[in-house]
Amino acid sequence: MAGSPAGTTALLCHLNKLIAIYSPTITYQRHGWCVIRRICTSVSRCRSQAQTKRKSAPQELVGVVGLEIHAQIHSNTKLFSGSQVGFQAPPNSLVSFFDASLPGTLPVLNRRCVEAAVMTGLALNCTINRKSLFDRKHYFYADLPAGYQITQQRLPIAVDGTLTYSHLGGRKRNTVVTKSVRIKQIQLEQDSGKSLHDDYRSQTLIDLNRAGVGLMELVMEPDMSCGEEAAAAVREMQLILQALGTCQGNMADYEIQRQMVVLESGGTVQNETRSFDGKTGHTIPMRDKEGLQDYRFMPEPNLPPLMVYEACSTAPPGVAPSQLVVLEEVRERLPELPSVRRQRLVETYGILPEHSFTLVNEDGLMDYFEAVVRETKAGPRKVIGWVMNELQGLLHQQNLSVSQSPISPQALAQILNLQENGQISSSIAKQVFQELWKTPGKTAQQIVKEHDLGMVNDSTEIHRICQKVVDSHPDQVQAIRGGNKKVLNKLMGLVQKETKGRADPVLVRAILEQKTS
Amino acid sequence: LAAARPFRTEVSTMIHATLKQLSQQLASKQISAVELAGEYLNRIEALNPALNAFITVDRDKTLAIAAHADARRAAGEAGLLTGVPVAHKDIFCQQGWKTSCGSKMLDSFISPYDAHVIEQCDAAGLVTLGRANMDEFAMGSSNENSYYGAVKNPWDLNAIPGGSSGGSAAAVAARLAPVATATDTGGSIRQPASHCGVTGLKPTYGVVSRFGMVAYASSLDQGGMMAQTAEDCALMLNVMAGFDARDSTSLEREREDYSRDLAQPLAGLRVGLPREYFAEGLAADVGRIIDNAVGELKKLGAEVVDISLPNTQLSIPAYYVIAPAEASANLSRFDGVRYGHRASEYKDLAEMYEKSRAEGFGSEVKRRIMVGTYVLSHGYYDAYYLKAQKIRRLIANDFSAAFAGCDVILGPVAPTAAFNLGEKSGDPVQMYLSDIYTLSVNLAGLPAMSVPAGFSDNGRPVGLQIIGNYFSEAKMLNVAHQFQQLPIVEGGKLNILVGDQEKVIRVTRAHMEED
Repeated sequence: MAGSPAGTTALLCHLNKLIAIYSPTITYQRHGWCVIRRICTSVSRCRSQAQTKRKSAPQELVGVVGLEIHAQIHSNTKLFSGSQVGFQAPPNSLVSFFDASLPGTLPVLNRRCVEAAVMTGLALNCTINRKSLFDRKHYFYADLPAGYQITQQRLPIAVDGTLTYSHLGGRKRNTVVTKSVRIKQIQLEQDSGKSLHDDYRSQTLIDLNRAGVGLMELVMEPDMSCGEEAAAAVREMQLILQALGTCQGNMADYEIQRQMVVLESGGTVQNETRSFDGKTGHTIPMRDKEGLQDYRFMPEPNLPPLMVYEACSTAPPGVAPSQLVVLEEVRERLPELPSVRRQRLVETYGILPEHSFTLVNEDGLMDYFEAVVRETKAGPRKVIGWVMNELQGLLHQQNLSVSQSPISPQALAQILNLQENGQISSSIAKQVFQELWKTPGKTAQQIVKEHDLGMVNDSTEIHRICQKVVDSHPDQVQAIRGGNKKVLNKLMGLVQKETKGRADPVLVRAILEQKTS
Repeated sequence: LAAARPFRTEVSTMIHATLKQLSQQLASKQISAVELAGEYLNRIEALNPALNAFITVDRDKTLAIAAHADARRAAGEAGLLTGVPVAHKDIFCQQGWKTSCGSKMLDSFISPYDAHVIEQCDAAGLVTLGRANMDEFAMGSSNENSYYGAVKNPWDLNAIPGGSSGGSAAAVAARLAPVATATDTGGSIRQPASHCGVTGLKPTYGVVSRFGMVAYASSLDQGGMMAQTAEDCALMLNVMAGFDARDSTSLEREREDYSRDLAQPLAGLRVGLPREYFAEGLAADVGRIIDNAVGELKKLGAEVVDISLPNTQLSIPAYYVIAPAEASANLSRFDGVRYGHRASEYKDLAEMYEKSRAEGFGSEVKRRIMVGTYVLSHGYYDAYYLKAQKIRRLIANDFSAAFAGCDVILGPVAPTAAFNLGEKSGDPVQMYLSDIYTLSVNLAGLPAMSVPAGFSDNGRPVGLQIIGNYFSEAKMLNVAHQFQQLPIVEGGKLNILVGDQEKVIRVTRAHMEED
């Protein structure tokens, strides 16, 4: 879309679709892992060409998208205190004296959070700073108990990385387009608490459960030119974080759209922090940051420099092993990343690259696919067809996640095996799939038996039916004999209608060809 | 509080006992912890109205703690200092006690937890006598900045006791407590110790945990103590020091006995005298007292080395940028939202902040928050904060160069003896300039002491400052202890009121005797 002459409405329509393609989990995810806390975008606009003559002509937007992703670190305890991290806990039940900024309390860095950031940095090809520093960022707000947030402004833990992502392009949207975005830095920082405004009673309630939870702020350079790219990059980032286990969950691309809409309608994008509401899929302004705020950054005097060592042997003596963050060890624990996983799927199963995207990008779909392949004689390419069309079709139609599928991989494998064994036809297999979806307790065999869907292999019977069809359709037979072989399909359909789709299509075709020749 | 009871003679002399002596008397059951605490409480009751050294005293609580100490002793679980009374500076969070930090902001704050220092003292069996007055949030050099009123100098009720640990110093000097905890960010232990004629020690940054110590300037704050003698300071440091994982700047070192070197002879000790500490600005009487003290140490075998700390003058601007900057951040949490003072009426969040803070903070605290906010503002950071940090490094370098040629550095603590109450309270710059000899030590993170050395022309105490290299507390205490063993050459008169009757007590460096 970048620089393309697409009209604004078309552009936005397109964006909506793309976002649905790239982040299906926004809609389908039910258990609401709240991972990516905030996505801040900067969308700049510029005219694609000077429009001096026709002022009324709609301005073309060329998006320049930079992203800051605030990902919550998956950790049992907060970044600088021993308080537990949890989402369902009653308000203010997970708050230590430090989290509430009582006088005299001090931060103690959680090593698990540091390792999560280091691992994320490694996965994003960053340089891990052997020494990084913490800073205070000041602003007054009721849910920021200390009056400052501890962050890493001057020297963050990881810098200069790249995120390689792909999206489907081309006219048929089946070409894999690979791009990369530079990662400027990854910084560790604390989350704030939550303010709940009760307009009716005109009071504000503060919940500090979230105050002090560890975040990674991932800053991407503005290398993306449109929402499609941004959405794909964010999705890839999410997959990487999930694979690493450094962060769980979910994200919102709504923000990109929102800013585009604002810009399209001639407004300006406010400098503000917005919060993503996972239920509505919208972002809302979190706090009013009037104008440019002066955060008065200063070094955090309570935390010594954060040191990361290449190996245990390079660490200075006297540092307790429990406090050491060692690159070598973190590197060893790096799991298979999504890009490697896709490549492996293409190579192992001979599936198309675009299919590997769908498998990896949708939660649980790859595992489902591989489980079916393991249990069936059907080839992976056949399996991928079923997973992409039948399974995903129904899941999307009913807003279900893969894990909520009424048909287990084993059940699907059974259906495919029945078909492979010649016990049912392919059209019957689809019928069995539909039945099974409605009555998940049963087995495929039971359904075949109950509905009498087994293949008719009795050639005398098939001969009889074929003869009946041929006899009753002289015009069509005439056409076939005149060279219009396509008409044969119509006759085949009539035979299948008679047999309720159970006749072996190969046999039917052979008999009909013989009878119409 | 019950009406003041007359002192039993045999006990009242105990008031002048050192920690070591009290420890022996408790161990030999000459006195119980409850009796001892009772005597000090009586004395506080009689004298504190005139001195204002304590913000909070709770007789019942103290006696209960003392009874517990006696029980420990009876059970054979007593340590060296079990049953010895202590006054805690109101900056250390102490569970169940108001921890006001000298501020209206925290007038209603009852701490729900103990500072590491409090935990250590409690574990050793020390008996809390009360909470010592201080300059608000430890900002001040005269103790005139307390929401609870100025503390008076027991030597002269017209004089300031020094600050910010003025309550601790006055309490120990007037024998309202045998020992007191204190903190030092820019001289807040040494300067009041000097002005009140007691021994004070500020350890190396990181030796005493800051956990639970209300922060003023975190990179400079360090807990310490005041007592009558260096030996008592050593015993107290043994209790207070130690690694604490809850303070990330706490240093993980092997435990040491800070009293181990007290008896070492000083022969061959190289004593550095920084030229800059004896230059213009030093009052003649203070200079004479320090010269005499150095002369006496020479007699003990010390060898004097002329040294230079060239960036001494820069310590004032560096400190008064760094400390307010950190303070402006540290005090942001006092917003009236979760605890502390909140204005009674406000129309929105911003007004709640403004009013609560305007009402809750005193003028010196506001001044430093303003300065700190200013120097951290966008566009000013490099010009002020960054430059100050560079000066800080230069000052630390000055000291490491100096310590290449000497074992300890000696000098005055303050340019003059205690000035009069109100004398400088209208002129903050004059007040700041009087911190010239103490600030560098905090900027460098070094340990330092003030040891009573004599009396000014107007009869006010003057301390000798001993600055040591990092972790040389045992060495400094050795020097101070040897100095305190010298025969008395100079004395002064401590005028304190006991009931209606003025009692004059002749006091020398470490000894005290009634006329």
